[in-house]
Amino acid sequence: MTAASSVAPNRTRSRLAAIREAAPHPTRWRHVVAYMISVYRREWQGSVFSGFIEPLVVLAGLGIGLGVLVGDKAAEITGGVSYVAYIAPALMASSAMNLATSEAAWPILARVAWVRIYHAMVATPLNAADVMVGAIAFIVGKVAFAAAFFAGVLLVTGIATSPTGALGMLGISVLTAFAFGAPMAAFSVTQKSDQGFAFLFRLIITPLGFFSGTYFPIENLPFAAQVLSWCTPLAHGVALSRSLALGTPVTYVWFHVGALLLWGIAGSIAAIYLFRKRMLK
Amino acid sequence: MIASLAPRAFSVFERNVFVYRRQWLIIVTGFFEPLFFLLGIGYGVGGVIGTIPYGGVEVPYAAFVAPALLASAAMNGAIFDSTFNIFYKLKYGKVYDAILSTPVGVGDLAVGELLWSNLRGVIYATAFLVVMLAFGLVQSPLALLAPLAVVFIGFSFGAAGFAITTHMRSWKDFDFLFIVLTPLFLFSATFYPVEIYPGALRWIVELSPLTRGTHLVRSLCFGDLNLFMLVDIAYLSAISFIGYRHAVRRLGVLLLK
Amino acid sequence: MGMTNSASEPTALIRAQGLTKVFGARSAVDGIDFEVRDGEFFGFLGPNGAGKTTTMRMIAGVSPRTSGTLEIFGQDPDLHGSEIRGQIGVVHQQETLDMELTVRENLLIFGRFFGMERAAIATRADELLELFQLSDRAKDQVEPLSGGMKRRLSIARSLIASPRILMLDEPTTGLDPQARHLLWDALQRLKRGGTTIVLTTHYMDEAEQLCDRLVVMDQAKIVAEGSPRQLIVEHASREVLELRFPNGTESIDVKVLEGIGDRYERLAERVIIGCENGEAAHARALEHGLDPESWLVRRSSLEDVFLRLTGRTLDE
Ligand SMILES: Nc1ncnc2c1ncn2[C@@H]1O[C@H](COP(=O)(O)OP(=O)(O)O)[C@@H](O)[C@H]1O
Ligand SMILES: [Mg+2]
Repeated sequence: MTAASSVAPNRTRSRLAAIREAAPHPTRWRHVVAYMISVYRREWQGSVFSGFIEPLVVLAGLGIGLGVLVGDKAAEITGGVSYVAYIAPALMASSAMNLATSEAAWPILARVAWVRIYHAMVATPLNAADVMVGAIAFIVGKVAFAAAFFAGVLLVTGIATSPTGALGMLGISVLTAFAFGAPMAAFSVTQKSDQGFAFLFRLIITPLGFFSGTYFPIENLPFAAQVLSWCTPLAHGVALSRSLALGTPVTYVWFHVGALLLWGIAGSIAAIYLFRKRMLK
Repeated sequence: MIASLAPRAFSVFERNVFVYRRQWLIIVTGFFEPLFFLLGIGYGVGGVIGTIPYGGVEVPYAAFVAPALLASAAMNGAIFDSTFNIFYKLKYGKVYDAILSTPVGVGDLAVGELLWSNLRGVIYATAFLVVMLAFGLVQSPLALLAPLAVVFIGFSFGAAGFAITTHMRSWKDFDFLFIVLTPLFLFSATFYPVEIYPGALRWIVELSPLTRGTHLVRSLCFGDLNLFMLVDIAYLSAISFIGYRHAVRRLGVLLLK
Repeated sequence: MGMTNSASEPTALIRAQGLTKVFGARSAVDGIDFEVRDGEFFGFLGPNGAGKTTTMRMIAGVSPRTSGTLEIFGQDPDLHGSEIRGQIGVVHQQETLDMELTVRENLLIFGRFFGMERAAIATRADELLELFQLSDRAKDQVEPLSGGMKRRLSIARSLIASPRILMLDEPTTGLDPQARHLLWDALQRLKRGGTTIVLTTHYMDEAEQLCDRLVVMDQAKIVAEGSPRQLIVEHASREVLELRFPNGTESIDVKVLEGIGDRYERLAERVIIGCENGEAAHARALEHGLDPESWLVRRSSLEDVFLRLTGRTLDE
């Protein structure tokens, strides 16, 4: 009896130690971000298009052109603003999704399976959690840059009218990037080749871009599709981003924010867990 | 038919059949992209737009967009194969060195690869035509010729993509490919009539090979035979020819040193 | 085919005269003459960069020559490359197997490149898999095969259309000794079956073991030609005495070296002396006051021929 009672606190203590061992350190992840930035400095030119220019091309291509066709009918979905102004904040959120998922796909797979730089990292005082937190933080940071650029363009062109609204949209893009980047990282660290990405992008990410309220209201979808749409992060990002841009009130703000955070946090925990499992193999 | 006309080129085509027999699911996923565009833009935004004027009559927006999506499906099928896959083979695999040690020459190699990338385009176009039929978006029996017409699109983008790929140095260069492809897809009379563009801009858009391909397919789908279709065919054939010649010359420089 | 030789002389399948290849300002192959006869095992022996691969590529018609004449089966490879390649099998120095296909598919598609009928290819492929002991790996991907297996597969693939000439560019480089001997056996079997074999190598033992005739290449030129035996008789003495001096050989007097044997080569840490009788030469060396750390006597080899002709060793 006495022996058992003295073991119990010990066991709790060692379990706590194990959790602390696996948990991210409050600051060490910053080294990972520093590493990513140094890599990115060398090869930023390529991603300028996918991150910064492409969203604007889509905005011009679909917003302006379709806007002409939508014409006066725009009012029935936009509540009065032009079609460009209607889709711009939504495109900002869906671009955050696109950039975050692709940044969390090939670059992470490459480091985990091809160049194996992560193996080198976890051989230092950094642990698996630090590496994942750093990787996700870098992705979110990169999206923040791209989103700031996009918001700037919207302000300059007068598509966005209020600077505070633009700032709010920036925040929503960051949240959206977190909600997509983290689960995508969790997927990537389990992959052996990039074949799975083809399926993920073509069958999930692409349709999300269309059916999350970006180009037309979710309410126009069949009911089942509406439910499905609200289960994914992008619909929430689009709803928040648009209401901030147009200054229309949203109901259930915390429901939307909560959904994005839930995806991000759950994705991060999964990414840390799966990455640690792979590294410790 | 091709097998007996150009057996060596056809054997290069066959190699891809061998490879993709195990990876056909990847090809299948490529089919969904135009479908999502049709549902999302054609029906989603089309629900707001309603009908638009085309050829003097009002047509449902989805029926207007669908032929363009069919044309771009062919473009995408061809260009992704002739850029990413061929770059991989040129840069990393030594397959081409092996192939060229057989009776197959660089010309056969280029034709064989282009046949294959074209097949992908034709498969996507045909599958999409079936979707259009199912959704009642086809206005004329001439639409059944669309999978044939896209061969012109497939060859022009395949050959141009091949030619450009022979100049690429690393994967990073592919970002520049998208700088061209995304606007090409969005601005080539895909989602709205070319008449929307003001003045000179319109004539630039008319010169886009995808605008020409879309015009060709759209004319067929609406049963609107016109002489400009011959211009489309001539223009796309010229691009195919120039791209092919350049690709073969570059293959010679790269592989027959 | 334009083979006009008289019946008494063995037919030349490949004939090169003044064959030259220039890359930019540097000659990779500089005016070489050689002939490969029907049914023989012919070798190009030379160190890295000698121009062996370039010569092989010109023969296969995948590298246009700068000047000179070259005929394979009496035809110019720059004009009739395709027809010529239809009758030769090529094994490249670097692995060129198709990593996207399985072992057997590598053979099947190659048969198609040669324009063979599918049924004929299937039979031939199974035959070759059996012959090169790859049958149990037929359905596997190529990537995980061992180096020796990959090389055997490359050779099997090159034989799919039963070529008249088989060309192998450094086929055993990078293989372990056992895989190497397995391969030598396979090549000798092929030769007995009537295939003409052209091989490049920088291993003198390989050339000595396999080749009926060979040319020694160095710095883009052919420096000697003949059977291994002829070359040794002609360019090397009967025996070789090797003396090792770990502290260097510069300080040794030339006069002393000249007095020991017929000829000598001074390397960084070794002196190699060609002579009739090695033991006697060793005795003379000691008489002259040399004090090598170790010494050995052996029969002359192609290595000595190369050393004699170029003043360098093959693996330098
Ligand atoms: N494509 C090329 N461009 C420029 N120089 C080359 C090329 N291929 C070979 N060389 C040069 O030609 C010479 C002979 O090369 P090679 O035929 O590969 O020699 P070997 O096969 O005997 O090692 C070398 O100096 C090499 O650097
Ligand atoms: Mg070589």
